[in-house]
Amino acid sequence: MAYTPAAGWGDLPLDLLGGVIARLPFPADRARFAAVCRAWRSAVRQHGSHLPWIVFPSCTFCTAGHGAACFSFLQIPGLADREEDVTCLGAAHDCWLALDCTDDIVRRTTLEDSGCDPDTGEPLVYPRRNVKHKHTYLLHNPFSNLTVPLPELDAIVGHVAETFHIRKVLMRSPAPQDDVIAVMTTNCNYNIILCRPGKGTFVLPYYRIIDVVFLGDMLYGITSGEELLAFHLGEDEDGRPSVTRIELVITNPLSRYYYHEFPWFWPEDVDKGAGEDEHNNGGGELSDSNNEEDEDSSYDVEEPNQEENDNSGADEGYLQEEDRNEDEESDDDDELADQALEDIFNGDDVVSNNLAPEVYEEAFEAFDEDVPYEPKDEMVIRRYLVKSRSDELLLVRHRYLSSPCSDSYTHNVEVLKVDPNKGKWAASNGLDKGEALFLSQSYNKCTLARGDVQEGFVYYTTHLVDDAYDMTCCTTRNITFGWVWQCRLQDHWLLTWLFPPEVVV
Amino acid sequence: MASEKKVVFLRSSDGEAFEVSEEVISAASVTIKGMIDEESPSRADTAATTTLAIPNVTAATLSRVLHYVNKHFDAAAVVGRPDDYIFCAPGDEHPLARFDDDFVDVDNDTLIDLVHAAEYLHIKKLFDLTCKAVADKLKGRTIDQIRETFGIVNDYTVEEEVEVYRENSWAF
Repeated sequence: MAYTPAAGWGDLPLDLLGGVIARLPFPADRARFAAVCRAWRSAVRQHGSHLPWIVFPSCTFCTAGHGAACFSFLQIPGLADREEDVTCLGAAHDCWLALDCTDDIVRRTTLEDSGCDPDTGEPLVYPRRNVKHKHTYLLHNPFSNLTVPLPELDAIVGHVAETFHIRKVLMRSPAPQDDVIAVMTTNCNYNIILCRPGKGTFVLPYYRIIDVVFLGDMLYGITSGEELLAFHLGEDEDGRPSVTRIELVITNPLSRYYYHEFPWFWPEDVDKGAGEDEHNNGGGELSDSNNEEDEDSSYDVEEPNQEENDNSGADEGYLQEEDRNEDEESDDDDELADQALEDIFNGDDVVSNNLAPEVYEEAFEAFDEDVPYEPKDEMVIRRYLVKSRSDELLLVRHRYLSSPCSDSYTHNVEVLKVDPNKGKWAASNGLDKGEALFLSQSYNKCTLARGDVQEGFVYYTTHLVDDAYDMTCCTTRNITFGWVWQCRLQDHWLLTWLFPPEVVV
Repeated sequence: MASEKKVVFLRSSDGEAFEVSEEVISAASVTIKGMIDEESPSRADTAATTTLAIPNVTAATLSRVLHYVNKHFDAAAVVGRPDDYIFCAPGDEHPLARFDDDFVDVDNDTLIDLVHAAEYLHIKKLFDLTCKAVADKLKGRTIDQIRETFGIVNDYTVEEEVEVYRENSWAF
């Protein structure tokens, strides 16, 4: 084998070029790389993995696939010397990140760095209810280097306790300067804040929304009880966003079990439509007579709920103790509203999250006072609302087993669609052809499967990023590409997907 | 077994021999570890040291590579974060980061030789480092700057070039 030293940069073997391309994560650099000569272009073509990035709260991002590595967003224009204060809240759109400039370090402190008190074993960095910090929010596109400040949002939640969290920031369109964004928080007085940069804000208080998605002129939201609300979006003459009508599209007669309280009534302004009677009766009967005959052909969504409720409803006290996110209950009564603004953002009145443990029977015994408490495996469901590529609403249930003694693993993933005629969720046969799904607390996306993204796969940031769920044969699969080890040091709830623009080669 | 450190000699393509600890080079280079394993039955009972021919690497490059290997893989010299030390979180300075920066601060011909050597010898850390160094030379540069820096001839036809520019016009 003859070796020709320094054969020249244009003739580097594909392997070597691949190593270089892996170190060039930004699509613009890759596009220019491909334009240099033919050999380099074909190297970029072979290297296209189409996998999104994972972004950490510290704004470090990592790529996947061959040569997976971590990088930092080193320069964010307009932040001057405050770069160390930047916390990533999540992706707000494919190429956009929602950033929070604050000296509150709780969120961006990794599990490894939070440290423990040597005596008590308690973490040293944890959110405190009585300590507030100033926050400045912005949207940033690292690919076009655009930054959009959100002073209207700062005016509402710019000074909040460490226990206050923004779960999700979602842009309706990729042009945040002229469109509305939805901000979902843990605080029940500010469940959802609609914000239009330069125009104003509109606050939706306690609707128990745990996930939202924009679809046309509507913002859809699901509750932890899988009820679906449609917020009809409008704006006043000054361009300030508003909600003209709130519609309860799907009711769940059993949803009160999810809410851990009796009774729960929707606020007056919710248009409950046909679902009203059912809901207030609290019964499981469905008034729609057509429903009976379809029972066999369409999967009845009520049944799995029933099972879950048998568990979770039966031992509510236990669940509340167990749920680490403290689904504390409090009706948003007048007293609370009268409290000084100072007290509002202490995180006391937390909107329940999309986490609902299904507890194994034997675990209930732990609640018997005579039997010492012993941690057991828990089945946990996370729910997501996702827009499919054909603009359908999907309810995704991710069930996984959370174990105190071993790594968690996925039990299954279910995808349901809206059945508009019956006002309920209907099972679907997995994802549409050629689609894959990416789930995280802050950003979900249904994408075209290609490159390393496999058809019918559901990818999630929860617990183990090294597996994915294959909807086509209903099994958990190890993914062939590995995420970098740094992912494991992060709080997995706070990881987000980011979809860089695709390079055409 | 004798406790003294075993050494091997590596002979470069231009005939120069370099001494290196067997333990260190085996930890660093998959290729050389394979060669040593192949050799080992024949030398089990002799005290003679082995000389391995590395036909693809010149003396100048090999001496650089061994300098790197001794810095990074000699357990007595440094025990760092075992994994991807290139990961650069703010304030997360690896003790060898400065050494690495200087190591790849070389002209393009030397760098390309290092990339080739790292790939041939299967030294993953060095391959990552040198690829990163090349990538850093490409980041944010225009196409003409890249061609000039690396002496690459544009082999696109005019029509092709227009097409290449058009399809990713946002990147230029």
